[in-house]
Amino acid sequence: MGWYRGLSLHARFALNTSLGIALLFAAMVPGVLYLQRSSALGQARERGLLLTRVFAHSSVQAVVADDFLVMRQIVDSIATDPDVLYAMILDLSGRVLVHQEVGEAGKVYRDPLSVGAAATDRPLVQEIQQGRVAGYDFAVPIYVMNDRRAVARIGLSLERERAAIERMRNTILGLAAAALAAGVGLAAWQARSVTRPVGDLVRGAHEITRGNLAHRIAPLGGDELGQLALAFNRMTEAVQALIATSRALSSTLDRDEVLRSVAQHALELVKADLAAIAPYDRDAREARIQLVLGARTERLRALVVTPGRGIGGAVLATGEPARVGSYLDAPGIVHDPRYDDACRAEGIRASAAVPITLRGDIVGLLWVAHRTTKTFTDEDVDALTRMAGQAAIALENARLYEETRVKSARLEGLLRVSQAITATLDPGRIVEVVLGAVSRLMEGAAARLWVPRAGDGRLVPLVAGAPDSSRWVEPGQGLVGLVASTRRPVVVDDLRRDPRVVHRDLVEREGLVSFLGLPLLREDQLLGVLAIATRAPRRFTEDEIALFASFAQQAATSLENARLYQDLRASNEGLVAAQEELVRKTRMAALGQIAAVVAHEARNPLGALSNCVQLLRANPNIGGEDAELLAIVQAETQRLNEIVSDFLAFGRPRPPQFEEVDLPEAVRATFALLRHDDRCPGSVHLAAKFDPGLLPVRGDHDQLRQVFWNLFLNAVQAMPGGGELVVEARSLGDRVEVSVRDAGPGIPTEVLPRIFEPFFTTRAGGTGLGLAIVRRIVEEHGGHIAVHSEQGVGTWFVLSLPVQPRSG
Amino acid sequence: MVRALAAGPAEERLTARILVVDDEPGMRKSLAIMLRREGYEVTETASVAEAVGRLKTGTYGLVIADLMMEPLSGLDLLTLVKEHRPRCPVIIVTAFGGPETRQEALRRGAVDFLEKPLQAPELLQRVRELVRHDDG
Repeated sequence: MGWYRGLSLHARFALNTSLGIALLFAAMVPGVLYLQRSSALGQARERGLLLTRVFAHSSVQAVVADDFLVMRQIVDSIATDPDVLYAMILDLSGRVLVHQEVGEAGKVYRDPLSVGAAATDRPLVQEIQQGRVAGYDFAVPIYVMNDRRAVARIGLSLERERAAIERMRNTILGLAAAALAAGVGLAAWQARSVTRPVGDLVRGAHEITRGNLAHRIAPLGGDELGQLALAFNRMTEAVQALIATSRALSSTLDRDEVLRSVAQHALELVKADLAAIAPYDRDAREARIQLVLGARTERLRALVVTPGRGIGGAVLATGEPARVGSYLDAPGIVHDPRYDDACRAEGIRASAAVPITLRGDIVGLLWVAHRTTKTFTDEDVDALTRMAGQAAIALENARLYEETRVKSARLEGLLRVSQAITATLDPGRIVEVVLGAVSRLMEGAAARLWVPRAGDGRLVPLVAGAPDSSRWVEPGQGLVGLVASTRRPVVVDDLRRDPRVVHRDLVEREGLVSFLGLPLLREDQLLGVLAIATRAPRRFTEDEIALFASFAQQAATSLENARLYQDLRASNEGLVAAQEELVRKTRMAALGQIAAVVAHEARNPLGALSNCVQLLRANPNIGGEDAELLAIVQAETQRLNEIVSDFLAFGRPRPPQFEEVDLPEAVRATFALLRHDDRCPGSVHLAAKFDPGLLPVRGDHDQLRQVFWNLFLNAVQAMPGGGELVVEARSLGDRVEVSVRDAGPGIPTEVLPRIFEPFFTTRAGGTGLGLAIVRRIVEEHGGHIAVHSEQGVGTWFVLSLPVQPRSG
Repeated sequence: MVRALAAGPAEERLTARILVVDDEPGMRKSLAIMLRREGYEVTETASVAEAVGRLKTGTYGLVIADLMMEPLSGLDLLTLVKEHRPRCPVIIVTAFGGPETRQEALRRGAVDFLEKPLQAPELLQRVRELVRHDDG
């Protein structure tokens, strides 16, 4: 039977139907033939019996009268019937009285049929076979007054019936064959017409399995197959829509894109005019419309759906889909003016909403609406529900992706911040990087760092890297103070309603809403408070708090590192300066020693020379030119001694002996000496200006006079053609500033930095020690000196000296 | 001027013997000449050892010693003089002397501390005061 199972449905259907028809005919035709034959033979029998009875009855008179002539006439008239094979009258002994065949009279037939016929006392019918001709033999006794006298016997041919039966059979068989053929054809056609849609369905299924969802089955009419095809097409459409939705939804992980895609597919799926999606916030117990498609107004945007109110609210409350034919007239919906107004504005009539559920929890609402009189069917709602299932998965994926993305972005941010702030040791830059990163990671958030102020420990915000003391909080006061005193994060959902806020003006001006405060701790010491405030309501999650806490920690560590580095650098700079100073001093000391040795060695011959000259000049015998020459020798000896004294003053300085020094007096005294010195041109004007309340300085009188002498002498020597030397002094807090200005040619810029170096001189005949001595003395006095010069304008020295501390 | 000074009391002048100690011959000799012209009796020595020898054998009204000498310095001599001839004044002369050296010399008993080059009037004034005082 394997071959049968391998046949197509079409072939099996056709074969079965044909077989049925054939069997039907096979069962029917013999019956019909049998009945027709029976009927034909029965009629022949009845006719033959009737003929024989008439024959017998007609023959009674002749038999009674033994009138053979009449009998002959009767027999002949009977025999005229073409079907009559024979006709005879027998006597009781079976002898033929009259026969149509004259020659047969007087014979006695001994065959059983003839014996039976001759002996019968009632009408008898027997079947006979005469050659090839079949027939009936009829025998009817001829009674005369209840006395059987003879038997009338007729042989009737059935040849005519047989031919009729034959004809009838052929007709019936022909008809049956024709009917059979028609039946088979019909069956084949029927099979084809029945199996074609099935084939279409099969092909459709094949197409679907091949992925061709655009395939549709042609309309088949209103029968079950037609309905099946319609159902199939609808199913394919639904699958196609589902797959399209699924594909579209899974093609993006962007939440907004997913929402848009869901809404778009919902629109197309149920051919609605509007669609909206509202994610459900479990904590807030509300769903806020996040995306609307097809809207004409802004009324629906950001509309908040509350459980129990409106159609969306009904869905939120029951978790079941809902649909209404006309929203505004719908009974069983708790109307809310917000929704009703929006519906009127949009011209919404029919509306349907389904929950977007994930693992049994409602995560959002999918809502569609018609503006026309169309309504949503159960199938629409089912399709929307299915799509909502897809949407839930896509939204969950998007959420997970977004979460992952945000987390990774934050981790990346943290990493970048870590890198950035560990890469710098500048505290200002660290703060800038941390605050910048916080603002980037929390869109639109304001981040501020509050630091404890040195001295009183009040917390002040850093503005542009510097503490802004115009605002402050005590530790424990306000939110920042709370973070500082508890050293724990503080979270506030709504600053606008928090009574602890101190700087409410700041909150209002910047539109701050949610707050996260984090302590920056190094061991137990508070380095600052990182205050993050958003401009939109926000619930900080544990993750975010942990993240920003690690930011704060990172910042604290880096700030501490930076501080340590600054300390280190400062001490290093101190060391470097000390080392430079040491080198300078060592060099100076070495120079000083050399200078001292040279000076000492020079002083002895100088001393002898001086003694000799003095002795010679006391000799009155020396006069004239010789006396003049001696005077020159004495003057040059004096000059030489001054040079040696410079060397000694530089090389073997004596520590200053501090006392209260009246600067104006020292300046005037030096001016007086200067006026009497040959090196000061008479055309130079000496001017001094002193603040009236100038305080005395703390210094060594002789050394300060040395300072002024050297400076003033330099100044006047710079003005050989005359000019003004101006000395000014003024008090600056606990210091006195003295400026010495000449109107000389100025010092070239490249030379200026070197003028305080020992042995540096631009003047022939100078030792180059004057300014070095000046600087050393000023520095030993705890002061400092600077020089400014402008070519063609002049040079001015500014030195600052500490004032004499007031005793008592 | 020098003549006038030299014309002072002869007794005083003769007894006013001055010991000049300096290892610099030019300085030593010019100083000795300057003092002799004022009428003083001057003994020149070039080292502390030599000076000590002179001090043992003779009496001096004043010692003028250079500070920087080898192997023994003017301060060493000052110490020795103050030990053995405590009444003999000593002037320390130096080509260079800081305040500390000056203080040290004065602490050890020097009557004066003068820097070279010496100013003749100043020196002679001091010598006159000391020698007169010593004898007076």
